[in-house]
Amino acid sequence: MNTFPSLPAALPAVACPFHDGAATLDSFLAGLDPRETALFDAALDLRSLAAAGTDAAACVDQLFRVRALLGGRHYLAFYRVRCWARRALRVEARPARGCPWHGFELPLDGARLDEIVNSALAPFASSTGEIPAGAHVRFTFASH
Amino acid sequence: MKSTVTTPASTRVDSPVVKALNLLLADSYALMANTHYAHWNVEGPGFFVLHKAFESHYEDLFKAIDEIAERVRALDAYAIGGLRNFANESGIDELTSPLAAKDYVASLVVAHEKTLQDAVALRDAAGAANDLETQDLAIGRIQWHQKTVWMLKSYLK
Repeated sequence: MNTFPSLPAALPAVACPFHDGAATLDSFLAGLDPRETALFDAALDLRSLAAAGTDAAACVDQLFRVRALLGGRHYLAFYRVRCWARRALRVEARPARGCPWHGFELPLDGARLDEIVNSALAPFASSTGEIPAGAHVRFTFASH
Repeated sequence: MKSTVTTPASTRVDSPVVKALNLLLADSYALMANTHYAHWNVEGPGFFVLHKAFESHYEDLFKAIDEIAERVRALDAYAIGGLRNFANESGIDELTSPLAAKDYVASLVVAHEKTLQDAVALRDAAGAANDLETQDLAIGRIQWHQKTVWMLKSYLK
């Protein structure tokens, strides 16, 4: 089994009653075959982004990239990663600059960034379906 | 003759054994609720198999909950109760919206593992208190959860 150093304390700490804490990513990596380089490298990049804790949007995008490469394999291990992501990452949207941000949980079954963005903006749509020009979506790491 | 009855330490409401029993009770109740939810709402090609399996699981959990609560009473302590209380005590996330079939299975694996962890803690607490009867109950629950986890994980492979 591959072992990796634990993610640094800078990673947002989440309550981990059972397997959906930061160590989830290490466990997920440990179950992958390093010879499957595309997937392994993508998972390593996800871990690095999570550890850095600075670019939540890139982290979400990488999560979905890993999901696509998995193609349904390692289902339980990646389910735990998705649970971690749901706790560690948040989607926020506002209809215009100066308006308060509305926060949403990252969907457990999310697979595409554009779908998440569209869902987050949908509450601000007019009766004709138009989104305000100043509407904005951002991704953040959950604070504790 | 005046008699005084002192409650043995092992049966006090704050005793490690009673606390561990009540935690297992909360876990089991929360897990039963999630399993029942999955039984109702699972969809897809695996529907019949999963619908039936989840039914079997929540029926077993229903019996186990009674057994655990009555063990608390047999120790002359009170069993905890109330849906909100069970949810808060167990820490198992409630299933509240529909999931893909495999996600139901995965979420139940995680909840079973948490319950298993607490059943192990109960086994050890009961052993330390020389309460072999409670330990026996805990061991039975551990065996059932281990078997159920094996079966659920197999579905995901």
